[in-house]
Amino acid sequence: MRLTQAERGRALRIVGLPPGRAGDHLVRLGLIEGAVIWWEGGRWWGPVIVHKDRHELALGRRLAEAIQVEPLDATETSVAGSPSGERAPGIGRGGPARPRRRRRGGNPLAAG
Amino acid sequence: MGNPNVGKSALFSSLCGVYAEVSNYPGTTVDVTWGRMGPDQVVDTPGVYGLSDLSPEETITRRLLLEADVVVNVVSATRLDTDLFLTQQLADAGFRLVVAVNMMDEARTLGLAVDLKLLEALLGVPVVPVVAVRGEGIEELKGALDRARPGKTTPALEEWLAAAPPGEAGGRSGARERARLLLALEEAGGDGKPGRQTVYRWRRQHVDAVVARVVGDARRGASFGVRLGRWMVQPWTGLPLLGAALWLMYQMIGVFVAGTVVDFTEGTLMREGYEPLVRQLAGRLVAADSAAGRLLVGEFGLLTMTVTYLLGILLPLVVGFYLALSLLEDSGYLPRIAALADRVLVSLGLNGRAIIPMILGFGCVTMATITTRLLPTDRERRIAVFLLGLAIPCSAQLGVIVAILAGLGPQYAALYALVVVGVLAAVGMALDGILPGRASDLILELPPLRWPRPGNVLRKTVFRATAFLREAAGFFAAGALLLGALEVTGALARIQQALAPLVSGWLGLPAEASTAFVMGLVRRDFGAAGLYDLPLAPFQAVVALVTITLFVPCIASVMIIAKERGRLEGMVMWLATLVSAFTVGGMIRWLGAALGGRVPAVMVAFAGLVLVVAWGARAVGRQLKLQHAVEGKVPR
Repeated sequence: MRLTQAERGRALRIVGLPPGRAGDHLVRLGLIEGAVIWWEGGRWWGPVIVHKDRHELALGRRLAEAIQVEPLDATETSVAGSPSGERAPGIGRGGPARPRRRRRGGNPLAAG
Repeated sequence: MGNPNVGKSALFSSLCGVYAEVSNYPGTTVDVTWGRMGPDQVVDTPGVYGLSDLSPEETITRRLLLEADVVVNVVSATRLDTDLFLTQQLADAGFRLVVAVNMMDEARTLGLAVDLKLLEALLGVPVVPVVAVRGEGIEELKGALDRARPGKTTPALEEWLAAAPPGEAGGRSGARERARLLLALEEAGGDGKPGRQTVYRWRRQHVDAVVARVVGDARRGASFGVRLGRWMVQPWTGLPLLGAALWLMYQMIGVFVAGTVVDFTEGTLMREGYEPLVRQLAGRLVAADSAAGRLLVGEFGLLTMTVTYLLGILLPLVVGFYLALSLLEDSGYLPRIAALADRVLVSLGLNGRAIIPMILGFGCVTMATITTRLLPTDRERRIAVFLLGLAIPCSAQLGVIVAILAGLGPQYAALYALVVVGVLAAVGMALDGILPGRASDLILELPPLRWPRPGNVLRKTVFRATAFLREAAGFFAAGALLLGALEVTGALARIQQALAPLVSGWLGLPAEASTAFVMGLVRRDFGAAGLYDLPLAPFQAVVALVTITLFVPCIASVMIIAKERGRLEGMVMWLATLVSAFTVGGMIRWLGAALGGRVPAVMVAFAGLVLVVAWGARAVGRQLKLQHAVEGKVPR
């Protein structure tokens, strides 16, 4: 679905970016296919606000229309962690914030 | 160098002892600043996210880097995932690097633990923690410059380079040559070369893996600052918050500074204290009614009017405005206003980022014109510069306008605001309709909200107010001398007579208002100050204020506009603003006359006219674009 169709506070995985410069710039900012973002606002008016890791981005509506995302299910969301420890609507009853889980082994860097 | 809003200018100031403006929004620095650190030259570059050709700043920065011996890459400890992309691009290009990890204090506050030793090992270059605004870590950074070296390249890119045919990527033929070839490689894909999209994805995946290893996150819940930041960008909460911020600014500038402070500085200090004293002293040297006496201490005297306007009226207003603006800039609120304004600005052919030069324009249009460089396309820069020159009053002018409006009552203030905003909207929509192309997409990072640092706010206010005095004093003195000479020779009376059909006949103002418009040719704030003491009925005051607001930009702004946009475009803009000012001023006067001076009726009629003009221009523009698209000339 399009990024503009997401629900507030929902965790989403990016599955498609627009081609060209805008898409390239999004990759520089960390928005790449497979990245998990949190939708923070802008369903009806103005730019779409998304949260990724520790920062927020405002994306113009036309650009947001061109970004394809898929919602994460409850299990994936709890692994990804809420952006700020808040309970995420639509993924069960929530509860205390879970710290972000980091991979410690088998990092692709080991090869580099 | 580094990404926008990571603290490059603060670090530059600490390294060189040269003042560079520091704010909390991306795009504070749009120019290159040069300084010295001992025998070495240091360059502060504009913030960029990469070294490709996605913006003119990236092209300039790339050119500068190719001449640099050592690159100090500033990154923010609070958002390494974004900032290290550029670091990795620098490493891939083979530049000799030192990485300064700034804002370590904020990272600690946010509960982020950054493993700097591991980061150094993974990047393969010296990594130094700094808090640039407090000067912490600067000596360590200076010490690390000798250890600068090329970093580890992106593994997938390195693999491709190793497998590529000789000469394809330049091999290892010198660091600068390698940098040139690698950067060129990213621009053009195909022909077996990976191209930008692929290289970017390799790099992004590598950087994400690095960040996952070096950053530990122990945050607990969303802080009040995070929640407030979100409220600021949601329309239902953001608009009331913006209204509250503007109301506070009005109370501070319009009520306190323009009322209490200016009453004291202009009335008590200048008119009652300074002017009689200087007249008395000058009287010992020249007769007050002689030509020289009138030039020095007459109605437009160099030592009376110039000094009173500059120090008694404008300086307190400018200081008050810059103080408020610096608070906004330092807090990180400006980018949130940009996000909030995006939807509106898109209809003017701009995106939300354009609100930053617009707001800075309320400080100084000259400075804001330079700041339009942060806009991504030439089309947007053209629209923004024209709107700035046309309808954005600078701090000194705005202060006088607010002071006059405060005495007229809310309905006249609302009429004034509607007319100026209406003209801004109509012209923006018309330009958007007529100019080929469309507004670019907004991609804006929202920095964390911070408490403004009093030292930085004060330093910035003093720096800008001093710059205002330095710039304005010469123009004011020249303007006062010109007016004085015109008055002494009797030319002023003849000009007033010549302008009477326009000023009195068309605008319905007293003949003396011509003097304010002549003064306005030098600077709009000078002209506005000329209206301050003129006895005007409320409706006349609104007509005069609208005309002087839309009047030609000051000489310094015109020079910068000509520099940024070319002489021809600058001249067209100058003439267009002059014609618009008198046209709109006259329209308000005649609408008022036709509707019996009823302010609400004038507002409705003017809004209707604006809509007709804007939609008409858009329709014509759409038709033209359609025609061009059919002929294959211009992209729609």
